[in-house]
Amino acid sequence: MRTTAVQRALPRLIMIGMLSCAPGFAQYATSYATHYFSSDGRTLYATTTTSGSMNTSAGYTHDYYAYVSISGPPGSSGSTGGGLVSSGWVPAASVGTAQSTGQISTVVDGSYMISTDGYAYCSDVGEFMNDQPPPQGPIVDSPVINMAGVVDSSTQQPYGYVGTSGTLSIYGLWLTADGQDPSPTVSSDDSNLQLSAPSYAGDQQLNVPYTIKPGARNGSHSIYVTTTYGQSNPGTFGVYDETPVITSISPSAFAAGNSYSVTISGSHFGSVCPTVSISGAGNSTFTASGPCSDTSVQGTAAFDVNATGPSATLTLTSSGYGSGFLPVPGQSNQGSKSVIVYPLTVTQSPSIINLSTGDKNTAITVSVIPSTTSFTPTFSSGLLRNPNSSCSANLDFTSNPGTGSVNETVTAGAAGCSGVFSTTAYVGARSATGATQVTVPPQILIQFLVGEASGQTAPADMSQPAIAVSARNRFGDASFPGGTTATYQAVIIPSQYYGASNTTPNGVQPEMANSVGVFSGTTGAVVQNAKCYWSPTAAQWATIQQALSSQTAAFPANVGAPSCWAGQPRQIVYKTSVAANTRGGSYAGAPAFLFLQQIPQSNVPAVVQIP
Amino acid sequence: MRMVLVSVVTPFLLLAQMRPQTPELRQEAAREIAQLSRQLRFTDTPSAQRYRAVREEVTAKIQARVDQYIGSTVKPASLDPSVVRQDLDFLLTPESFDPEYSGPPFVAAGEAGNARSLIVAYMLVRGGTAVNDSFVTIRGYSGVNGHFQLVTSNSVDFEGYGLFAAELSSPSPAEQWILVWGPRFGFNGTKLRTRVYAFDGHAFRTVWNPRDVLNGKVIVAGNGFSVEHLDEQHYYVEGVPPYTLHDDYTVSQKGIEQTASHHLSE
Repeated sequence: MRTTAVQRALPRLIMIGMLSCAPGFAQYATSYATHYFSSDGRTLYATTTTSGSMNTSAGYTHDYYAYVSISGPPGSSGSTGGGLVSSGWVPAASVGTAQSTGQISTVVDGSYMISTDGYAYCSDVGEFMNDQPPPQGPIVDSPVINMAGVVDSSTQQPYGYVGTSGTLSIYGLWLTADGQDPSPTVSSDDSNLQLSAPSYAGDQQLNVPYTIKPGARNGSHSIYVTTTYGQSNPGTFGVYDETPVITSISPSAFAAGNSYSVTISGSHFGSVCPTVSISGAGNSTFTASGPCSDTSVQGTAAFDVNATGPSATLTLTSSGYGSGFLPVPGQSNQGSKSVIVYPLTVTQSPSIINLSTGDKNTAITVSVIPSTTSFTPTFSSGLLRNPNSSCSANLDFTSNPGTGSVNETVTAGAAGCSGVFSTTAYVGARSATGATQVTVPPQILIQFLVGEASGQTAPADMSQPAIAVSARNRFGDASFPGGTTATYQAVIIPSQYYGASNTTPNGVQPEMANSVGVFSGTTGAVVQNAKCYWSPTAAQWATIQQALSSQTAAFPANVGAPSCWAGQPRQIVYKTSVAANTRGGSYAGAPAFLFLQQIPQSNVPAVVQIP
Repeated sequence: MRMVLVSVVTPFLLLAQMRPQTPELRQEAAREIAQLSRQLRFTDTPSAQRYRAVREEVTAKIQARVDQYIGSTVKPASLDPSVVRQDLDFLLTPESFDPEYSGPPFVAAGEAGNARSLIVAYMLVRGGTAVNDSFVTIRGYSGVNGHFQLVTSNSVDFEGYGLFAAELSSPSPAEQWILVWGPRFGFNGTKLRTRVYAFDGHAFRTVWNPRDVLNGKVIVAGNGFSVEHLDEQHYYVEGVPPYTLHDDYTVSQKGIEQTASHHLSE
């Protein structure tokens, strides 16, 4: 390249200019540049075209150059190009065109710059340049900040965080007026984005310490460089809130159903107290209760009793530093950390309850672990069965609050009704391990046993179960009153049993236990198929004993036997586990009860003995 | 009870030859009653349902048939209670029952209401084999135009009970007094009901209506009767023997008066 009288054309984003040889030679040259984007907007193309036409005498040389350069923000790549299209001695009439094309991907966000150049050289025509008069020395203009020309020097990101300090690197041209103003002024549009005097000043780069104080406006800010040549275009620098980070939560393990004083530590929580939520643990809540800072929040975490564990997540949502919270695009205003959650353990006892509709002091104990848990249990009961009863009972429970353990009274109604229930305690939605089987026998069964055999209560005395089973044996036998209905209420009636008139209102023992055994079926056919019974006197028993000993088939007369199957083949059943009548007197030594059953024919012993 | 049976058997033997010459009527009535009575027994649930559907109707038919027989065959002028009792025993033979729990038909003649009067009581055995769903009726007849006409009845008090009866010496010449008792069928033990009725030729009046007693036994003697029964207070409540009470009653102008009560030694 020749060096004489050459003046590079000034860079321009879009340049259209005129090159010209010296007057009098009637020659001229033009240069222009164009640019355009691809249809998807992701590629920028630029072209510089230099055209010249000389009409001069032979012997002059000429050169036509075209040059283009495209630059972008860090991370982008482009191309530059240029070339000599026509060169050599100009013929009498010389026309030529030089063209250069470049392109760059515009995927990376930021500012792009197109620099173009074109010139024609006439060896003897003097200098020329496009659209600018030839300068007298270096060209100096007001400062120009490149697109995306303001970044944090450490992160090379065009933003900084509230509450932080750093150094801005500002890139551009004439930032020091080509060295004529070594102390340019750098300013911002926000007083809380404080900028100091440049720590380094070059014509194309300034380094400026900065501090973003709380209260700084979030979002994009304008940065200006001012030299003696004027103020620059605005450079852009973002101010954002930094994503909060939780580094520790104390304590870090929790139990469902309990509340804890909690300290959350970390960074970037903001100057305004953040909010904290708990997820993965039902309806657990966090309520700030103490002073908060950019690095610490205190509050009360109340964990739902229904939390199932094994973990939950505490999420802190920053409210920023007074101007709301604006995160860097793609980032969040939330920080989270996982904690351990132990589910609540609920147990209940006892596993079996026998309950009368008149009982008011029977309780189910519900306990929880941890024992510091305050709770009020609820209960769910399902009717498992209600055999041979005219009505089904309902269970009711008290709702007393407690801590660790609480006794809840269970009652059954309506009076006289019955059922076998499976009852489960709940604390919230958390069910107890195991269940309680609540058996409510028909009250008439209890009353019947009290009325008939309240004196026969020795542990091994089978009197009560035996007479209850004999009544149960009447179910399905249409001969007996209530037999077709087959309920305890229909069978155990005053016309058939003395004890049916008893009015015992509650579940006395052992009548309660014996009633439950018969009602629930755990007491089997302990008197074979006997359906009637009576209490013989000692004299009557002596007669019966003779019949038992002799194995006679003749039914003994005048032994007090009830009228069941009178005149029909029938048999006395002596159950040896039925103890002697405790009344003594004329009944002394006789079994408390003997039983009657029908037999198919009369040629079998009239009295039999069973265990 | 035992005394009643003795008093019945002896006249029966003496007056056997005086039975009315109505064998055809008696046979016909017995056959009809036997046919009806078969509808009053059951052996299983379906037949029990059929029984309960016709029980009252059939029972009424049997009563009517007995009343018809008495009205047509028993003459007030020649009334012989033993013959009537014998006839009723024959008519109701299909309904015989264990004598330990119920007696035969009861017949008592008198002059209640200044006319020849007749009291008849009998039990119909009904229901299944285990428990007698008994129908007990006590019926009062009065002699009208040479025939006995039913004027009143009581079929309520002893329904479900057995039937034993005895004549009592009436304190009023215009009334017949009877003692009726019986055990409750199906009851576990013995539950005894006792009543005294007066018949004035027109209606029955309940003279004595005690509560039922347990393990009861009635003894008729002289101008009164005795009831032995369990002392429930002693037995069930106190558990202290003796347990058997013996109560003596006599008939007076005032009605039935308890003259004594004591525990039997054990």
